Amino acid sequence: MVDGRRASIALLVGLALGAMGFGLAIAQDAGNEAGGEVPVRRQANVLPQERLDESSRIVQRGEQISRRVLAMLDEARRERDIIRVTCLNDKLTQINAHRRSANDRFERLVEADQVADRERAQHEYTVLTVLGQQFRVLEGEANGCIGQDIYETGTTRIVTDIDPSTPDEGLEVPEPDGPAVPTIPPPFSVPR
Amino acid sequence: MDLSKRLGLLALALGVLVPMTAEAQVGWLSDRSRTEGPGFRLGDFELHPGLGVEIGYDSNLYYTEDDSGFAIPRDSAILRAAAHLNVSTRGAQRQQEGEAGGDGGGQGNPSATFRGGLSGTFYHFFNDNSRTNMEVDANLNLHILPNRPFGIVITENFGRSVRPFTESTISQSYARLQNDAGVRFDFQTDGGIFKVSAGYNFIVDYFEDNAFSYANTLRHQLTLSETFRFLPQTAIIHDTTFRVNDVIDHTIDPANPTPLINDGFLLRTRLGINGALTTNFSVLVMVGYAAGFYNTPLVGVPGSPDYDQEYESIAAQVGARWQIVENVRLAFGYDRDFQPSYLGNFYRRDRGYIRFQTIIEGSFLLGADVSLGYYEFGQPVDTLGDALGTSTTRGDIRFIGNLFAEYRFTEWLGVNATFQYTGNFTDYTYDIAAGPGVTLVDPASYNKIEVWGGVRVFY
Repeated sequence: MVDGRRASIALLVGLALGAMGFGLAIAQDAGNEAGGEVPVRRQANVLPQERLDESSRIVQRGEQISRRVLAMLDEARRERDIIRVTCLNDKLTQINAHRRSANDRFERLVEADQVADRERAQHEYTVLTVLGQQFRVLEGEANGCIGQDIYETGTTRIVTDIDPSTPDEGLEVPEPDGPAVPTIPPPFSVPR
Repeated sequence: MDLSKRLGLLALALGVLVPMTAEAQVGWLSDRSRTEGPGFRLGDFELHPGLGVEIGYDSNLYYTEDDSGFAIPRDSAILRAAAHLNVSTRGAQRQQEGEAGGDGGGQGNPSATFRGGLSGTFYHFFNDNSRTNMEVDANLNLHILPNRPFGIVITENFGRSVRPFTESTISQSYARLQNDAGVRFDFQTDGGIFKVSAGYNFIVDYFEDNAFSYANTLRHQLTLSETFRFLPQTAIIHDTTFRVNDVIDHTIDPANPTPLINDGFLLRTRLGINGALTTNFSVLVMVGYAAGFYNTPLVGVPGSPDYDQEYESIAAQVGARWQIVENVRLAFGYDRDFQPSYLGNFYRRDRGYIRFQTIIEGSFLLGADVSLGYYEFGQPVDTLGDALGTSTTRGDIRFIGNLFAEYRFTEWLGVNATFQYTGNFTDYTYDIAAGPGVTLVDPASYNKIEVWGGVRVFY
């Protein structure tokens, strides 16, 4: 009887813990819906050709971002803005490293598809999608690179607002007016 | 009439009446802002024609003393008809109101602005037909590179006046030609905070009748002014004027001596402040030094009197302008100055004035202008050194009161009326030779009333 009672309690505790674990699993799934894993999982189910096309776009995007940040770096160098140059140079280095990695992964993906190695292809694709996310993050950080202008006030410029009701009078002093009628003696009518 | 037009008319009214006292005798043509209506636009230029006809009455044509024994007509009705044509580059108001375009685009600061005008005024004196005559006025103002660090202003003003200015003893002509040609160089900082202007004017003053030829004068005038602006709309100003009066004819005729006018050098330099203190009150205070040096032109010539004169005194100009309400303005002040004169070489003037202007309902303009001054002349002698009158000194008290009203039916049609009283009070009397051994006494005091009424169209 006692054993049966213990067994019942153990069963209830087990059910409760099981329910909690299930609930946590549901909650974790719900949290993952908003995270970055879901696209990976969803993308993992795409067809091989779609997977290949998407991977190609990631590689191309990496190259575009690299060129754009390189242009920004050149501009910062022309402006001799050393702070921005340092920041952009760091981002470009990371982008290029990811870009090289993405190219390698893409080649491996193509090879895996050719030999119909589905698991390897899926792995390479997963890594490429993560690299694609890193491209976006680094692009945003490169755009946020600030320069010396944030520390410099530049040339002082004073803007003056004058009350519009202030009389708009000429500031030239009017010349005291001369006589409108000259003071002249009447002419002599005949010689004296 | 919308608010902007009312304000425009108000600004016109406030600007119009300032020189009224001095210029009343030449009618409304004296102020350009009153002569211009909406105007015709021709590309980057605007054209303002106008015509006015007035009937007036002058109680004292020849500035005769009330009890004078001269048997000449003293008063007369007068017909005055004036036509004018003004041309200018488009004004700021037109540009601000969006009239862009034209050949020059009209946007931004123009490389040159131009104003020119031509007018003719016909006078007929009903009580003295022989005086019927024409006045003419032509003027030009060319401003090259305005509002730039360096600019040039070229001016030309020509005028012919015909109205009498003294007793008519030999029915002489009163026609007088005056021409003023000038050039001015302006330098300023980018924002116009500090300005320096230097200019030269060459002035010719010529009387057509030989009876006044002794007064024909050439005048050279050099000016230098510096302006330092500060907020809100105020400036510290320093100006200096140096004038050389060169009398053309120094002939000494013992048989017919004329009033002596000597070559002169006049200097005036002033320092002061001008501009708004508040949004409705502004002041002008200028104080300085004035001097004049007059030399006997023919030293050593028999008959030439020793007539060197000097003038030295304070020059002052103090005034306030108060905009009581939006459409009412009051101005008052005092000035002390000296000017060249055909009697005694110069006169010093101490004058106070009050001016009032208002505009009612945007179409009725009313102004009053009153001044009272004391005029002290240099020694009035003739070329032989003899006194021209009963004294070798002369001091006049002169009162001038002026009322002006105009009603505008439209933007281009108005009727106006003017009343002016001038009273000149002095003990000085001229001695006028009326025959061998006969001398008439002509008191220099006079009272003069003028009334005018007329209609004018302008566009």
